[in-house]
Amino acid sequence: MQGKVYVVTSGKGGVGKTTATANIGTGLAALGRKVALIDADIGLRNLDVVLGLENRIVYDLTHVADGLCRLRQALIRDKRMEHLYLLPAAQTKDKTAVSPDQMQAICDELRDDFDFILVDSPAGIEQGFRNAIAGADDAIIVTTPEVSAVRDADRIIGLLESAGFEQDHRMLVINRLKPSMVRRGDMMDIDDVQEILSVPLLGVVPDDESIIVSTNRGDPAVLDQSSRAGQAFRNIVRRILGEEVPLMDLNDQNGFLARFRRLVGIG
Amino acid sequence: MPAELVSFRGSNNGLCIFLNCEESLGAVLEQLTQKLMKANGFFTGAPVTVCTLGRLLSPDEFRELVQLITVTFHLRLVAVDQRTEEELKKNPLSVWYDHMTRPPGEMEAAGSGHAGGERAGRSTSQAGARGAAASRQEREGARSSLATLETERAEGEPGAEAITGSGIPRATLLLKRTLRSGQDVRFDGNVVVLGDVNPGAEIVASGDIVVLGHLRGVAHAGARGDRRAVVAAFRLSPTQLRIADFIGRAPDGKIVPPNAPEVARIRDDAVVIEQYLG
Repeated sequence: MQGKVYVVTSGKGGVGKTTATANIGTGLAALGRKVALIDADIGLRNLDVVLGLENRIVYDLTHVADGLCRLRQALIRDKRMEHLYLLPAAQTKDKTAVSPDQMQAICDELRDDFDFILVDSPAGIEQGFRNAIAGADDAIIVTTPEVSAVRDADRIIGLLESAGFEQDHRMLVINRLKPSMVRRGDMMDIDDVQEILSVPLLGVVPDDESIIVSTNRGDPAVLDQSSRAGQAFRNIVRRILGEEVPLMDLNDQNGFLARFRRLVGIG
Repeated sequence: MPAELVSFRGSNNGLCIFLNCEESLGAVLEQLTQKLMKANGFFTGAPVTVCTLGRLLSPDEFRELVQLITVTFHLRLVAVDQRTEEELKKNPLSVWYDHMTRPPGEMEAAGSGHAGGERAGRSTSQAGARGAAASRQEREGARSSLATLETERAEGEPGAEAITGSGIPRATLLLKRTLRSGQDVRFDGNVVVLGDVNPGAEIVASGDIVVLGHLRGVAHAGARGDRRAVVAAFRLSPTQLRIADFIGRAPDGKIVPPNAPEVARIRDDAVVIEQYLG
């Protein structure tokens, strides 16, 4: 069976593409799927750091594209997940070091050996973005509930449309939602975002300080059973695998009672 | 048939191919292709050293040549020798091992497929020495090219010393700045940095590397194969350390290096880090 290629993209920077890629990939691998992550952000690579694999990089995406090494040699196996591999980006080059055709060839080669291939797209709509979507079947659009991020996501969805990604090949992740702010009316809620973007919702990830700790440490939050964001990513993973999972209740997550419940493990 | 641009010669270390690159490389590669086609796969997998005569190749030409030899005809490229004929006459046996010319298959990506064999943390096996992380990786491909190198050295030929480049006075590059992420320095000689080397920055040198500051990025000393090369830094906590064909990486998790200068070198086939004692 041929693997499926997803591109994780957003347009705007800093909304959580790399965090989402790392967590969804790790989550899929934790459920026994074979997963390859590709960092397409040449020159500003981060995925290796978020996964804690920076110290293992010898070959990267550009070496593979240029035929200087075999694809298998450049793939780094994750230190936690047996079935998770990373194809890192080069840091000392720029987006033009790889062409969309080369990216597509690499993605297609990975299909034979992996169930899921996730491409972490760089911010922007230039060549880096075009590289990232070149080999993808489906697009996961990440946005935060902010006007600027939603505006950029809308732009990206338009570009994906014209690149041939049909309606059922696009899905949305709303990241860093703060329920307390939504309640006060200070933040767009899920419906506000959906009204503008009208893309099927893959998941909503609450704002969670533990994400910052986990990305700094190189330990994806999806493996942390006590992390709210981790739970949201686990749900996203199950939805990707075809399960019907209701959206998690984001309310009261910061109340004393909820914290207490979580502490004793019934939350 | 135009003048002979390509000639083959056998040696103890396998096949030697001499290319006359004075004119265009295209004609040379065409002739090489014809010759290898005529050999009908006879040389597949054979260790081969390529000597380019006449002039230095551009990186693109270089890549094309390496591609043809390793990918199209599946020869095992040991080295590409770019010295002039005069230098060759002086040291017929010596070979410049160029890290950048390493063909596919010679070096396995650190960590891929080796995650199980890691030794994290500091090794206490040597007094005052700490293992640079997971120590080196077992790399079959690199082993075989290394074997060639050792054979040559063992023969004790006058040229053998020049293989590692030691004995030849090396140039030294002085960098009075901090290298930031994405910046890299490649230099045929020693490199001294008056500043820091941040994560994501890379120094590749055929000689030694000295950082008068904090080395947090990747450093590759002895990149042409000199296993006596060292990496020294006021504060040595690199993402990855490479010396010749050895790779060491930082252990996973938090490491607190001592607040003192340290030197990394190869001892007993492992990259070890020792306190710098002057």
